[in-house]
Amino acid sequence: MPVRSRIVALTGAMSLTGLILAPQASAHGIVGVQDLPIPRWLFGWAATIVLVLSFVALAVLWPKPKLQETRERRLLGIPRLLDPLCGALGVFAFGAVVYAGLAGSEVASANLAPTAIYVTAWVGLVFAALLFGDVWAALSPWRALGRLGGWVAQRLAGDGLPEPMPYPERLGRWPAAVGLIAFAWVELVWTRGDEPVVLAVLAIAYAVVMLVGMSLYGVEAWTRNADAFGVYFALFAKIAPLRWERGAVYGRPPLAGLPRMDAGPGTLAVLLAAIGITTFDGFSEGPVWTDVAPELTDAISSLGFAQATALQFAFTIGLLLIIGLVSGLFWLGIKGMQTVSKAYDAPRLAREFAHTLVPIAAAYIVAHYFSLLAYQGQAMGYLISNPLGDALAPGDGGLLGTAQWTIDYGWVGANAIWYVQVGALVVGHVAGLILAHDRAIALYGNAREATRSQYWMLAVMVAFTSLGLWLLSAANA
Amino acid sequence: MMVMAHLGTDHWWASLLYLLPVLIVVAGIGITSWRDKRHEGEDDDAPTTPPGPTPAP
Repeated sequence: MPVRSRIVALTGAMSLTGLILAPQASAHGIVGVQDLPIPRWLFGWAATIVLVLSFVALAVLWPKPKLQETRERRLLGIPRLLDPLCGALGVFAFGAVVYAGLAGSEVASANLAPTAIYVTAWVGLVFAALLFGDVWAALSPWRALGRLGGWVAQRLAGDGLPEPMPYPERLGRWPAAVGLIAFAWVELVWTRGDEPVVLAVLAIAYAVVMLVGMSLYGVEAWTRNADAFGVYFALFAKIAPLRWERGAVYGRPPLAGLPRMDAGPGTLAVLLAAIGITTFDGFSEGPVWTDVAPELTDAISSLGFAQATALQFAFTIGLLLIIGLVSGLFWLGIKGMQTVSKAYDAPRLAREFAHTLVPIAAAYIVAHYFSLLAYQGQAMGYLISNPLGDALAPGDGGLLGTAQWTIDYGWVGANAIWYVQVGALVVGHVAGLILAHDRAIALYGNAREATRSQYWMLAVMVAFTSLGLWLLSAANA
Repeated sequence: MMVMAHLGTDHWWASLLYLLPVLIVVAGIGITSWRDKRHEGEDDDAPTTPPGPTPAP
């Protein structure tokens, strides 16, 4: 998290061991001591039992596909004005964050920009997407500006306005995957990644790239494929029981949006990157990385690089290796399916089962970032009243009167956080199993073959669950 | 299990306790897959019964 980057940046004179160990204390705001009735590793065993029992229950009680075709119900109509209003809100918030970054305090925790980007947007919008659907699509500042630009151009040029170019199909969502990894690199690796000015400049640069892309390929096609955040939040929104479309809100069973997910080129990369990024964030706070990173950094610095550069190289290697490891695990499950039937090749199976990764990615994010959102998310309460981080007089409430608020670390305890983390991991992976089983029945035609095809997917789910719990346990230790 | 529970989780080998259920599941799946394949092989190799005499009406 940015805290780590901050610490790394500010303590250049410290020994490398000190640099690596210091961030562990942050552990995403985990506060208090856990007093669990059983050791943490036993939760891993219990989760495995739940997954195996779920697998057996699906094999016995779920003989036909149920999720491939689900009906949506129109819940309510919404005024057409809401869309531009949300867009205007997004543009205003974007402007405020950029202004705070450029003009405000250089101290990351006192400035609105880092918390707004890394906590409220990056983490909070995932939670919002899981509960309420694609909130980001309505709030996205570049989408709103792109649509406004298109509307103005249409008014001015009329029929003379050329159609946008067709978005290259082969490119698919690869730009989004690259954007996601780049964002994670800034957040988790780059030592300047939480400097407000840097974040503001990067936000402007990203918005410019998005606007250029939208003007070339059209707002919706670009947002659907190349906007890393648009793609990222839209994938999680498919879990939600709500779907927003112009003028109406539709209700559907949770997960029902996923089987219809378009898994075109790059979609799998986005999902594997999302899981890998969260995994690395947890892994880099644990003892294994604490042991490995100094040696890796020393090896790189012996090639002639400065210590800080070598450290960033080491973290980059770690990030890419973990994304590779996560990808390898998924491919093992896919190759395992092929041992049952050669009817489908591996790339086809990977596309067909890509949507099963969405609840796993969501589970990892909820488990890993719940405490961050629960505690650090409260900082927005005082930051919106003092976005620049000015020194205020005692009792001065700032813009909205909330500048003196503080973070309440007592509202949720360490045990409750652990149970939320374990619950999220188990529910997410059981959801992944359900989706995979349902797709397998639709694909293979009979329940027996479908169940057999999912043996190795079960192993992958158990591996992901155990890995997630191990990471959390190491971070909480 | 209770013995392990009381040993604590401060040692490096405690990490292996997270790996163990994965290994058990993989082993179980490996054995099940192998048995499934063996049964399939037996079904394929089973001699086909020659047609018997036509039963008298």
